[in-house]
Amino acid sequence: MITLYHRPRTRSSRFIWLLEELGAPYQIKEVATRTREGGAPDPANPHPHGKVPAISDDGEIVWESPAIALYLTDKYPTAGIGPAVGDPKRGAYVSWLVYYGSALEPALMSKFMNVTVPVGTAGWVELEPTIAAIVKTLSAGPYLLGEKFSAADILYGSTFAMFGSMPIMPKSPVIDAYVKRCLDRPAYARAQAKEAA
Amino acid sequence: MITLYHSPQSRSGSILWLLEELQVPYETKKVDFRHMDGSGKKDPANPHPHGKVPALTDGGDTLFESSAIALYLTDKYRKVKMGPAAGETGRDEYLSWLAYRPGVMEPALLCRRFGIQHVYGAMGWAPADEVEAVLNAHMKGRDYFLGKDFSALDILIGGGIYFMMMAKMMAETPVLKDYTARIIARPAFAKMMGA
Repeated sequence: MITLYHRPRTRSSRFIWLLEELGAPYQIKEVATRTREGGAPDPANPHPHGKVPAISDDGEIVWESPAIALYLTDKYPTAGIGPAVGDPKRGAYVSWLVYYGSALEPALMSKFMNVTVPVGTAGWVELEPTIAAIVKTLSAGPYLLGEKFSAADILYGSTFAMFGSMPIMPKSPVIDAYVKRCLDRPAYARAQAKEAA
Repeated sequence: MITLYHSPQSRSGSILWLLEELQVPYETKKVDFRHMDGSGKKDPANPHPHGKVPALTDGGDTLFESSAIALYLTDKYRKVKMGPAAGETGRDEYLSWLAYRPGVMEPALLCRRFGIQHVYGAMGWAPADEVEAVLNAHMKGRDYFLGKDFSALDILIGGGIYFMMMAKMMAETPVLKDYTARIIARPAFAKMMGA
């Protein structure tokens, strides 16, 4: 049985969505995390920095969103939302999963903190070219991997749903349509209901 | 044939090191990219969305981001095993730390270098001091990142620690010095430094 270490309305919320997409049996364990206001890491949470999300699966502990998404879609291949090893989309799948944590997140945060991204030093670039690269891919899409929805779209779709309306985000009708397409999925509605319960 | 888009003394070196360890045939294509001092420019031959290195093509597959390339290669090429496959012991740690390298370790250390205050609850990473504590605690009593066997994590994280300690971006500790001495003694490391 999979346990999701979760704090409502945070980066772990979208893993309820992913687990609903997979149809895998799971349970949710709510944990406290540190916030701007303070707090301490929750000893019940296996993440080395006490962050969410993390999962445990019969003793296997996985943390960091791209890692959890890959672990789960490899484990439940019949759901068809993560190309397996040997699939022609595998390269794009792992690239976009990693890019979420290594490029999109730090680019958003750099913009939010009003920090100039050091060219040639940082592993990421400014938010505008980051979004432009994503928009270019989605324009050919309509999903990151082309015609088929994947767990990578859960990471990006949920992030744009959360940050899309903030003034720091470059406006894009392509991203607006993409968010709507992703959030229209029944598994997203089930996840929302589960989190509200 | 695997093609690595590479620039000497850059981040693409770790993938070159990995390809040497995997003993698979590959070619390198040297490309220019934008440097800190303003020199260099994006090379149109480079398939990376931002013209950065590394990028890699393998048949019809195009990959970017070091951790993604490492995972893809170690899953696909298993004559020499450089990481646990799906379903094998240690896969959980392998995936988590591969994501940790660019998603936590890198932004945390850069934020400290540039004097950016950590904001809990907003940033997807952790303060640099905590990252150093976690890495030191993890490596205590271990030969390699996953324990007894050398893996791609030792190239990405171990190699990263080696270069960041050299650049004084990370504190040198006996645990990490021992560890990095072990990994840089490998012939493939020397091959990378000469490439």
